[in-house]
Amino acid sequence: MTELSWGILLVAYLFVGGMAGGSYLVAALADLFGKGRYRVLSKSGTYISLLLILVGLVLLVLDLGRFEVDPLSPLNAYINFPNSIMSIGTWIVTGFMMVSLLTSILWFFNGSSIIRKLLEIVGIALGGSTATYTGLLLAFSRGRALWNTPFLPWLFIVSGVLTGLALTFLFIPIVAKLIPRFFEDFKELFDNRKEFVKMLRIGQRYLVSIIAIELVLVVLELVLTNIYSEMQHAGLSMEFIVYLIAGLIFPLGVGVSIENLKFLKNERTALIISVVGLLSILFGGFLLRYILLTAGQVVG
Amino acid sequence: MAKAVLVDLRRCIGCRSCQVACKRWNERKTTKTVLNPDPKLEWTNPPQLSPETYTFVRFVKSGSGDSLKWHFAKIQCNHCIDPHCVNGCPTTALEKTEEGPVIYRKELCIGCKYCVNTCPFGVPQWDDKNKIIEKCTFCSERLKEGIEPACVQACPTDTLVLMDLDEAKMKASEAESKGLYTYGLREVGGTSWIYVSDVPFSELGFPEHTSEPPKVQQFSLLTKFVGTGILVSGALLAAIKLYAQRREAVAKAEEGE
Repeated sequence: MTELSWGILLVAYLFVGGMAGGSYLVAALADLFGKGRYRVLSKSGTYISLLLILVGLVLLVLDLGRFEVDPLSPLNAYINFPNSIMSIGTWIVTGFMMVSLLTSILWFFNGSSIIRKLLEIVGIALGGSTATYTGLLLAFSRGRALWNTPFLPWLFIVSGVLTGLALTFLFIPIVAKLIPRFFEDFKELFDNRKEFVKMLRIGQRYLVSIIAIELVLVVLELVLTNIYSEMQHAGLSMEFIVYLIAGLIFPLGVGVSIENLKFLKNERTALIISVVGLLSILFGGFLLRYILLTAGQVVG
Repeated sequence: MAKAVLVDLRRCIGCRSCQVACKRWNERKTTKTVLNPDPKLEWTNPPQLSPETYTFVRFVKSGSGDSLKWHFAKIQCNHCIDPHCVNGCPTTALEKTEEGPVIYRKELCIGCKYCVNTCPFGVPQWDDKNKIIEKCTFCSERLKEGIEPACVQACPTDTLVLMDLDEAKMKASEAESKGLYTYGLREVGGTSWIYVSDVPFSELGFPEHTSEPPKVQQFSLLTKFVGTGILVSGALLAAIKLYAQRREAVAKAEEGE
């Protein structure tokens, strides 16, 4: 019986870290190129990225086996830079956290938009790297054949952007309902249901494109590697099919239908279906990481 | 001078003296005897490496009846020349010494377990009770004093011989030229434990590996990663352009109607 050295905490970190990088990336691009149309979306993505990277850090530290023996030991992860990909990742995540924090402060207190945009340019590189390095870290693991593919880091980046964008949308109604006092513009947008649904409809087009890219990567992985037989060997083929359906095919269907089906022209129905689609994307993103991390260790 | 162990599996009789000597020198506990679930390997005991087992002899059965044959293969850390665990360790807790051993310094370790996953041979073992990594040390403290590793000293058939790395490589190359199989001469860039055998190593359960050391393997993966990105984005851009052209054509046709 293979013992898994990396369990659910690391699965959660890979999921949350990827989403943090992805949401910042989307937020920064929307701010830099959106001509002021997507301010709330950009704010949502930035705040989410900060929240998630902090949660990710906690998960990562809790997963470290020697934290309880020596609570300061996690600081040693900075030492073997730039040899170790994990050490590189530690520096990247630290930098990303700083940039995400500063951007969030500037958004929250309506600070200088020039400094914010300069930070966003740096943050795009750091956020992208945060979503990428975990995939490379797995791909470099010589002892795990399933991970040694060039598609895996791409899959992590694309999935990070997809889940990041999905959560960025979901965060708006959550904040608008729970803490409207501090986020008036979130409440204003959500209360103007027509405007919010319009934004969701536009967002669905982007989601559909990103899902299509992820599907291409999954197909490449299935055709060019023996990932499926290894999934079967690891007893995870059913989970993989669930990921394909819940994480990709269903939300793709939602995205395509929302523009083309008559009954979805109704705002309330479109909102409900969109939210279900977004939640399904998040579930798929988590499942993808669980399957890859577990199967890689079981197969060896 | 870097040391190596030449492991000539043709000489091994499966006495497990190396296993016992290792347990004694490293004060490892014994573990309950279990039969390996794989019938081909059933007499392998302990069945695998663990925090309490730095080395074991794999008993591989082939054929049956009169043609039954046993092959024995000692398994432990191969002490790679350019180890993946050392390269991947974020804290330098794992270090390749000049004398050859890959050593572990628990005071630097954070317990990330990357070495467990990146080792090409599945050697480092996480001891969850003591919160440390356990693996064969190549008896580095003995080597420093000019004494052979415990397993080498205990081997009654000279299956295990300590020598200079260059000499071990030369002997393994000579064996290859005589049609024998070797392992560790090239795999993952070479190891400090080099094997010679008269049966292919795939039959003995050794993992197949290319000769790429960590940096080369990583560079090769990075190149493929960037290449994949260029190819996929190129294909996507082409698809978007075709789609836009088609849309324009349809719109024009509709206008014409």
